[in-house]
Amino acid sequence: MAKKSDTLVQIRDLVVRFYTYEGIVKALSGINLEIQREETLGIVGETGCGKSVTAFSIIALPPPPGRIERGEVLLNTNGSTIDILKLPRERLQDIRGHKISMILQEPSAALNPLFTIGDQIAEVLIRHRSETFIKMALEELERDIEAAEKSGSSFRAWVYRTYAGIYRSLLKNRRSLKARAASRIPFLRRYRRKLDAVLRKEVVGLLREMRIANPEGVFDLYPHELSGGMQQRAVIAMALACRPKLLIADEPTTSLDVTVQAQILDLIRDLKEEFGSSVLYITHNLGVVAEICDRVAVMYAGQICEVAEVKELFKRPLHPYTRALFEAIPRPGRGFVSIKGTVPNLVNPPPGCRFHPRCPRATKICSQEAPKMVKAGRDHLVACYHYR
Amino acid sequence: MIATLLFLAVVFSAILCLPVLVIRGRMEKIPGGTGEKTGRWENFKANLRPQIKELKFSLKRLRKSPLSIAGITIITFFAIIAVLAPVLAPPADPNRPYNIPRDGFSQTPKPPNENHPFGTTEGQFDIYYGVIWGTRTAFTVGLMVVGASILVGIVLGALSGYFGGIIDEIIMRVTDVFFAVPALILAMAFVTAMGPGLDSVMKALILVWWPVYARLIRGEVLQAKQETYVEAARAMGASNFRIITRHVLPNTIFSVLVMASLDLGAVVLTAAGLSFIGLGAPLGYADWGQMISFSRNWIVGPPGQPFLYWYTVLIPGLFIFFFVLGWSLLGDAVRDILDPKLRRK
Amino acid sequence: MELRAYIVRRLLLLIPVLVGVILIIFALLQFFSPVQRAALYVRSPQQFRNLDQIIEKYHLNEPVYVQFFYWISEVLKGNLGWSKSVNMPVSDALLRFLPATLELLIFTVPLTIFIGIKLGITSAIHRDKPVDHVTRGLAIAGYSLPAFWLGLMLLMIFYGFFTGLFPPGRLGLDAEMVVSSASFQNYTYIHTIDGILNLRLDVVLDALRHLVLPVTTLTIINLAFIMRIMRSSMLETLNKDYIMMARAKGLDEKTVINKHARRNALIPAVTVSGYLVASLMAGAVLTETVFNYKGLGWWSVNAAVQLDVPAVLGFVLFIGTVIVITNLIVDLLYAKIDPRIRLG
Repeated sequence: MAKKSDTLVQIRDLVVRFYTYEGIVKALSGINLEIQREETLGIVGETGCGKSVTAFSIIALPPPPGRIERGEVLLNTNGSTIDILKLPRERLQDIRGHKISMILQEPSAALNPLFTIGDQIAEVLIRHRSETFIKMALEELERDIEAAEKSGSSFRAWVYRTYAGIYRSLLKNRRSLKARAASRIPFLRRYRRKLDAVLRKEVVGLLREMRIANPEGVFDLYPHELSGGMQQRAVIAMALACRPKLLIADEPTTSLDVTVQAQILDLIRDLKEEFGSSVLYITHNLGVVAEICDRVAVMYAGQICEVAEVKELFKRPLHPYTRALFEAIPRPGRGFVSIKGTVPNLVNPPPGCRFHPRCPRATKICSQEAPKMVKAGRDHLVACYHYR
Repeated sequence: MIATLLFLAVVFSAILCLPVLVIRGRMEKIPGGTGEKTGRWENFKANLRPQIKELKFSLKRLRKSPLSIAGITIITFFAIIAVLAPVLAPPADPNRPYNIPRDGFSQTPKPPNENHPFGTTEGQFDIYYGVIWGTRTAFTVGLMVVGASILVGIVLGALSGYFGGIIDEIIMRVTDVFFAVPALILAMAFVTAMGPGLDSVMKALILVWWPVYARLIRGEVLQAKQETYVEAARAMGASNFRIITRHVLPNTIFSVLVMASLDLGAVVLTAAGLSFIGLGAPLGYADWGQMISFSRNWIVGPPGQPFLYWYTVLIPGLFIFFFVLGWSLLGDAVRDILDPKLRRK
Repeated sequence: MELRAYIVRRLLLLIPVLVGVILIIFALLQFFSPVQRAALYVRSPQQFRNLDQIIEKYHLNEPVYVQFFYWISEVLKGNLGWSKSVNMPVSDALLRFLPATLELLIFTVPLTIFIGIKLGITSAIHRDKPVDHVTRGLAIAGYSLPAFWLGLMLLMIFYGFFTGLFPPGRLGLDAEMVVSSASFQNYTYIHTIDGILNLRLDVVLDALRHLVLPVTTLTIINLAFIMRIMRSSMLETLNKDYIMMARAKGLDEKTVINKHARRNALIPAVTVSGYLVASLMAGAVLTETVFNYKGLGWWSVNAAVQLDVPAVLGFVLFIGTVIVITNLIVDLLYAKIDPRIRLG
């Protein structure tokens, strides 16, 4: 049973709008959602219902031309609560990739084609945990200095001491002038090698954890040289490099082959256990939800209509839209059942409950006033007047 | 002159016909299009709706872009000057309106006065008359060259893109050759070979400009070839000519128009360059490039009055500049709006 | 290994283009009478006296393909004819005027590319904001300026109003004397470089003073080209998933733009920089003419006006070759930036 202190992220009344030439698209209208520690929360819904926008808004990166109009995203870490959306830009960047990280739908597009896999993963480490690695590099340098002095090569010892000096200045200041100057001077530039070696070791370890065969070789490959599944593993490595508290996975298996999908799902589930992270898993596939999630939120047209534990939701779907979703799953011996009507245009969404024009149970009140979230059971919330 | 006008008429009507072709092409894309009488008008409307929506959307964006508004205003202004040229500057000899009247033969330019509102340039050519009728020259050169290039480009580009294979290879290698030498330099060589004159300039520019359109149209045709409706038309046994003219070409019209509006400025600029060098219009012909070349010796006034002959350089130059600017602004704005990669963001 | 195959393939593709340029030039020659064409084979002024012999010798009255054979064999030997406008063989004239144009381009190319890329990126980052509109407006205005008119206007101000501040020509009289004196070693005939090598600061400064206006003119006119491409490719890149990913990694905006976006956005800009060279050469023709800057462009215009056909054709052939080679270099650069090409 989730206690109050177990909440990791709390989204409150989040409103996101897209300003386009065709009008203002009300992409999210008042989202309320909680993500508990070490749980996997799924968001399901049709394309364009706002599930990806929700995910991106958690790290204050709504896809352009979107704008966050209102709302709070409260992050609970180390006993204190902060509102991500109100943070100054630099503190926000410290959280992205460190406390909260992302996996995108299309791994081949998420990787920059011009840098090697290793480079792109090491980039996260150096951004958020540079201190650890510089200290490691320094320790190794000191061992080298000792060894050099023992063998009587004072020149080598002197060179290593110079490098160590650069690392110390980097420890004091991440944008140290000394280090920046040194990286432009031949020979002095080699100081980076120690750090690179330390990073490489860490990244290779990470890649191995992602169950990538031959991680040493993959480190130096460019994204286009890997298969889709391998690319997605590299992206996951990038996301998990700093052991984030929350991993946002935006349909990470949609573009992959079925067999690879299963592997990636297993990987995410196992790593989540191992790293103790929470996962926000976005998908339109109810099968995947059943397999990986602890709780599910169902979204429709920029609003959440039902939240429940997985077993509960599959056993007892309450919202008419959720029921329609379940019925739309093709089963043998039965024709396709589709939801009547079309997805509403979010420039002029229908008044009241947004599902009412397509809803078989709709009554007068549905078109007048939007239903509030009500408790319909243990850990089961639903926004509908007629769920009974 | 009559030949020129006839040619212009053909080019214009061809351009005007293209939207009609677009509509007809769309109609045939759905089963029961032009072929059946029943529901013809409904189909027509249904098919046109996305097209009209798209056009409205584009026009709305065009109106919102300050740069394109500026471009359209400038072009309209020049078009009015060109049309009203006989009123604004009545020619002395109606048979040869493009000859700038001279007021004497003195080399030294004279500043603006009541007889010559913009003054006279070297050789006492009236600057006002020159720039007004020069507008007509600019439009003629621009439209002729771009129009002819489009016609040649459509034929060769469509052949190349639609049939592919050896025809494509040959035509594309030829365009490669033309792209290997800058238009101005190659045109200069052609004019040198054909002998100086405005006709040579236009012929030379057409010769060096068509590859731009051949490539553009080839690319579009290659893309259109992939579309399902073209494949469907082929499966239904439509002839190659019909497929090209009805289904493929109409879809290239937007990119051709963008290119054309950008090119009109560039063509006039290049032609003015050739005239400035001295390879263009004959002496005294109303042409902006030549008028600037008249001013070359009068850049610097006598000591103490450095800007004494400013009018000889500034006025014709501003005319060229704004003319080209108008087309560039319009082309740039339209390109941005029609670029599928960048729009709707 | 793949890279070598790529280079070989690119080199093979160059051949038809060069053959095509040669064919065009030969076709142009057919506009002229045999007597005029005979000038193409003349190597010294004396030979002008017996043009008939030359017509005979080079079979200028024979069928076209025979003529082509003789003509091409002469071209391959480096004999491009006699340039009557400067009274020397065309090949000598090309060598003589090349350094000046090179000097102009040495300053213009980096300046244009650097400013163009910078403006393009700025414009893209601030899309549809005032900065974007102003930058684009200025670039379009620059592109619409006639090179020759801009040159004249600049002269009017910086030569006329600020008397003699930036004069036309290539060198002042004093510097000309120094350069042509025996004690001055002309290594490259590029005055700024030779001046540095000879430790003659006065020559360097004088050469720079003469370069300011032509370089400004050429840069302003060609800026829009690079800027426009850079802007649109940057806009496209900024919409890519990996940029979103870079932001989600917590990288600051500066790193996202400078590291992740810029290099990707540069690829299209590099592929078209071959056209930049073409456009700069065309601009150089007019600019050199206006500023009386005696380089290849000035020579070709001078030749064209005097109907010095061999000179113009030799110039076209030369420019065609240069641009074709530039495109090759650009392709190789492209392969260096983009690993997808590099690795096949």
